[in-house]
Amino acid sequence: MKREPRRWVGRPLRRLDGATKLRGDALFTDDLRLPGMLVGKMLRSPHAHARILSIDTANAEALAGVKAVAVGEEMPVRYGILPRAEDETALAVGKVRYVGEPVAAVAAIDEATALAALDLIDVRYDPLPAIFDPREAMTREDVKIHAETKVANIERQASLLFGDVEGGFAAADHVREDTFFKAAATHAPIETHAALAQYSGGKLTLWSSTQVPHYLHRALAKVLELPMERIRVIKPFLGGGFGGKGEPFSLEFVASHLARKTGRPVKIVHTREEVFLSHRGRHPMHMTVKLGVKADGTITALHFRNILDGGCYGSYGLVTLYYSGQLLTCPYVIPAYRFDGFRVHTNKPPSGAQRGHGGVSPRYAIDVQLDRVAEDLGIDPLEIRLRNAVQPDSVTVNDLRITSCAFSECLEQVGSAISWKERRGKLPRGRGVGMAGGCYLSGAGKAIYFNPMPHSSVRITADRGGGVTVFSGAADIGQGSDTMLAVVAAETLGIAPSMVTVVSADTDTTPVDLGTYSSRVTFMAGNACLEAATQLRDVLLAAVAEELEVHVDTLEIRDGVIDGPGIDADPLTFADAIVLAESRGGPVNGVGGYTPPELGGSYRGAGVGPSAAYSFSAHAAEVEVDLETGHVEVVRLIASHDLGVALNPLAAEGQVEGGASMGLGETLMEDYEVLEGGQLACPSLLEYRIPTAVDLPDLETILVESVDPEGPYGAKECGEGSVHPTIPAVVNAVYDAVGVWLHEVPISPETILALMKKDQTRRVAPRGATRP
Amino acid sequence: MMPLPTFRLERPATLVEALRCLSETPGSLPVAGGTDLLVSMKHGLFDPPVLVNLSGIEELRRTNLAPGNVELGAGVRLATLRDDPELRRGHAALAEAAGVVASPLLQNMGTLGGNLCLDTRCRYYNQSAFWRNSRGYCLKRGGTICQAAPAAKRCFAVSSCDTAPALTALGAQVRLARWEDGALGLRELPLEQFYVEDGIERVTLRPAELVSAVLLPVTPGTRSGFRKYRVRDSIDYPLASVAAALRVEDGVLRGVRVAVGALASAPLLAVETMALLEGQPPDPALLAEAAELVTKGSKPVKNQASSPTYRRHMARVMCRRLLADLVA
Repeated sequence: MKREPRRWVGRPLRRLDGATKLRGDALFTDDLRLPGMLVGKMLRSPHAHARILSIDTANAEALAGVKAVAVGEEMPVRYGILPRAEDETALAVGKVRYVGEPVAAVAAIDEATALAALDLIDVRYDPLPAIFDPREAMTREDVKIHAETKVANIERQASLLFGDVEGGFAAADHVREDTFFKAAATHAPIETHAALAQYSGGKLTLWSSTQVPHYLHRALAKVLELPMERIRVIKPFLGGGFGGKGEPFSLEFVASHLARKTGRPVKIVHTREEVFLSHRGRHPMHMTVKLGVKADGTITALHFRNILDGGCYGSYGLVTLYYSGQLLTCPYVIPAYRFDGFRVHTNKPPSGAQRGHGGVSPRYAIDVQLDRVAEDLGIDPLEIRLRNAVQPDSVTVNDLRITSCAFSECLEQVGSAISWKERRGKLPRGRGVGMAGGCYLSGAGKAIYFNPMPHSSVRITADRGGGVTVFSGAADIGQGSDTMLAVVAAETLGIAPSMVTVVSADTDTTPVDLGTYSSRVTFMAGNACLEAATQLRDVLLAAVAEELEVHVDTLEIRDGVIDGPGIDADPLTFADAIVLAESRGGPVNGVGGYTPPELGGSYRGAGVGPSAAYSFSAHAAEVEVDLETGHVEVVRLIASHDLGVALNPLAAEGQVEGGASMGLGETLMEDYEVLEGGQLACPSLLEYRIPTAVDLPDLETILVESVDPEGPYGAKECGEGSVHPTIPAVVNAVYDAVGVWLHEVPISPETILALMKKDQTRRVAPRGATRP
Repeated sequence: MMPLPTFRLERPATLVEALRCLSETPGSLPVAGGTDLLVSMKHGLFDPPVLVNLSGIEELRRTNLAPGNVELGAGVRLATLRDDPELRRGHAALAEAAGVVASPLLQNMGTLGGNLCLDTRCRYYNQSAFWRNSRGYCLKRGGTICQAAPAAKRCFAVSSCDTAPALTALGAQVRLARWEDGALGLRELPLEQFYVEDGIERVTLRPAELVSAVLLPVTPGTRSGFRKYRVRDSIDYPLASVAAALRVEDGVLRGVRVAVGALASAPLLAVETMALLEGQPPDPALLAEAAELVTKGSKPVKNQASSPTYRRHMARVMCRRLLADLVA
């Protein structure tokens, strides 16, 4: 579908706060200083699993400069991002479940005093056996990480069944079953978590590096037992989240509590190691894929089994569990589908949501399995994808409504960019190309807790100078949502984005937005902003029409000037229109809200997966594998992404590149490994390796536009779907290069070498097994 | 950010002054670029009462690249070594090694002497105080067992500096300076004698003694190079490295010196490899055979990323490729 020409939408625009950040003027949470401010520090558990016998804080409290010490019993109310999994306390109560769990905290006049005070807190522990493998945890009734789990340490089992799965496998000409493992990864944002709390006049103000001010607001009220109207949450400039700041964290409650206790502002800033300990990153997944296809490659049935290592708390895990199953019915048509999943507790830092939430690791398994099946049957991998590609205006077997969809085009575009037909299977040994697809939601159809409010609300006010201010609860975490809101407002109002000021993520002054997660902000806050700006425009034009005595439909605003019949002689500016409207009755506003339509099935788990729109993507990778060392160099990565409409192509390309580079890191090097004993193997950016600029190939982005009927100006998501196809594209390319399949990620050169050696010894034997 | 412990900073202007400072306060440590020591201090691995900053000592930054008499001050920045056209021509292994230490930003700060004295590294040692307390302390710092190889009686922390194997292959000597009985004492020794293959002892420096300079022999016709294996192409410490220097004279190899890094607690001279090649024509099969011997003296344990087996394999592959490049 072609989109209409627009004034600002579709033009590459530098982010509005870019210069501020480059100059160092932008104030992040750690930049904020208040008079009398104290430094807060947390004492963490050295044990992976232990009962707390006693905590003696007397010596710490006696230290000069210490203003308060806090322990878990002072804040016993449980919280958690999901109402069904409120299993955490701000500081451990009764027992600790991972190495690094916060146990006590101090507020002192400076950092050195606070750290010295931590050493003076005497905690007595009774160590318990600890479990680090979810497959073991599933059966260990003797070691209970949470007393509440019914079977061993299984937090939740999920089973989904759609269509005739047995019939589908029976009708298949070829069935292939394999196992896959994707290790944990973590977000590694450049800014560490930080919170600054002030309790003054009976009101708490918390500045925090959060992606979800609204959910944090609710959780603070609950845990601190304060009414919401006495709490204000402000998100200052934020240096990256990727899901790692997408839920309430211990330091936010602790800073608030210590501020209330001392009457002085308290700031807590995590060290890098504490960021690694807070985690909530990608769940390790032990996956089994059984895929049935006809001889021509048409998929007949899929059975996906998944064991998720949840670490020791719920976090987003129940949603991760369901996403890992629900998102697999797209972007390939699956006529019959069964999912069996388990989320299991272990004595590790909690797993949670990370960019591409839930779907990234299963996508690796499925898109590699699709290539394996294609190889078995002698079908081209691009061909098998096109044959099964989901089409626009269709419904998946698990009731996901697909509207705009340019998946086939995404595949064709990367295929042509990498010269697929000429090169796949035809390059010299050591060189290979591979491909994979993906899809992701543009915001979850359901809020995390039930409520009748819009998911996003926006208010726009106009001032007499001709500028407008957009008030939105959406949290710009560096992805550029403030700029997105300015583009939508500017386009709708017919003014330049530079005339738009965005005030966001302050619970006292901005209308509610559920936050930055599940790729929801462009679609939902963008739609709310579109509605608010439209309303404001209507108010302005009505005033002009009345003044000029013309019909309102004849007027429009273009480049800040009102255009219409009879006003050529004496042009009216946007500012004039505001003055006219204001003189008719006070301030000029527009408000808007967005609520997703009722979508999805009625089965248990149906709430996770539905979205008003889905993005689609395909990546093609070219690799060079060193035959003697097994080292994989990704030479090229071409990423196509159907994002509906690119509101700001510059920002969209950045998102797609960012997603692909995170995917490359997870493919080649990132492993959030926990040692026996519970210590992190790599709690630093030196040893937890994310790719540097020199480790990345030239990333080529192809933005594909399908013009979504419900998105703001046709836009859909692009920030998370862009990480989905990367891993399988590279793994499939490695197969093309050296003929080995990698069933564990991150891939290691050592494994590739070993597999190549094994492969050479059975070169003559045919691969795969085709059922008669 | 992790805070630094408190210390007094001395800023001597001369080498003698610096040595005096070091000898006057037991436990004091020298610091130059600070790229290694300050991180370790934040981790609680060192808590010196006094840091003696060597950056202001001009004599430590002096270099003499005159033919036949190359002398490099210990205070020379790694970036300088990386970029120097003379070194790149005559002592390529050193320039290449300096250019792959950490990242360009750290090469701007780090010095030759600092890199040579880099502490040995281990995943059970280079961690915060919190981490090591949780895990249990190791032989190298505060504990009674090696966390990487609990049955062992020694420390296997890895020599992770890049310039040391390069300089070993180039046949370098180090000049050491100390303050003793009110006088400056100097000694020079071959670099391989400067190191001790023990993760704790690691160098033969006496108390209050500094590396002041590196002396390089100049033999016309020498070709040299350095290869490093790491996961990322920047920032990372080596998981294995190889340096080689040789001449091709009248169709045979002369002056062959090969050293491996990051596979033991010191750079190791690959004497079997050297012996096999010396005086022989640079036949590809012989180079391959010699490269297979390069890891003979090393038995790394699992205390880094990657497995010991694979790190040794990488050293052999890099060695063969490097030798082939040098004789080409």
